[in-house]
Amino acid sequence: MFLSAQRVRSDGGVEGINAFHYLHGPFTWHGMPPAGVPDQNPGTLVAHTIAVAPPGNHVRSFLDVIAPDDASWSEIRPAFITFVSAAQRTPLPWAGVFGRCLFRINMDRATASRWSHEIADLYRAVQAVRIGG
Amino acid sequence: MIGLAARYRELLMELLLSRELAGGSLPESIESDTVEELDRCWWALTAAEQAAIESELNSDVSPTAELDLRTVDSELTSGSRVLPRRAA
Repeated sequence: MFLSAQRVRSDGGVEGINAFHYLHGPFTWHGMPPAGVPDQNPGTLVAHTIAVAPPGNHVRSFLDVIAPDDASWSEIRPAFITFVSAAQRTPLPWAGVFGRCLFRINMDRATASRWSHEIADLYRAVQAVRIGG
Repeated sequence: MIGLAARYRELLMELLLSRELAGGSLPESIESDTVEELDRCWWALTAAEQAAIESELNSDVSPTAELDLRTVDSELTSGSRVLPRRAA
C-alpha cells in the first residue's frame, strides 16, 4: 500500500492537499518494504481526494506512507511518531523505515516554518483517503 | 529497547502531533496521562540527557528545507500505476 498526500499550488495561486491511495494486492511483505516500492512500483491507484486538479501544480509538501495493504493505523501511527521524532532535527527531506512501514516527508522552506501543523494536515489527508479507514 | 532520552523525545512528539491532529488540544485525561509519563521519563534521565533535551527545546527551530521542491503533480485516474508527482 502506498498512501500519499501532497500540498500543491496552481499557477493561479490556488492551494490545497491532494491525497492518493494505491494498493499492491497480493504483493505483501513482512520486514522492510521491497526495493522499488513505491518509485518503480507504486501499486494501483484505488482512491484519491482532489482539492486542486492535477496536473502541473507545484508540489509544496508531501507525506508518503508505504506499508503492507493490511497494515492498520494502530501499526502505522506509532511507527510514524517514532519516524518524525527521530527525523525532526535533521534537514529535510526525511525518509525512514520503522517496522513494516516506510515514510517520506518533504516540504519547501515556507511550509517547513510550520512543519508540525503541515505534518498533521498531511497525515489527516492520508487517513481520510484510505479506503476502509 | 530504545533509550530513555529517545523515549522522552517520542513522547513529546506524540503529544505534539496528537494535539495537532485533534485541532489544537486534547481531552484532559489523555493529555494528563501523557504528561505523567513524560514526567516519569524525565526524572529517570541522567543530568546530561536532561541538559541535552532542554537545549533542544530552547533552540526549537524549523527543519532546514529547500526553497522550492522543483516538483509538479501528475495526471492520475483510478487504476493508474504512476507516482503522483514528478520532477519539474
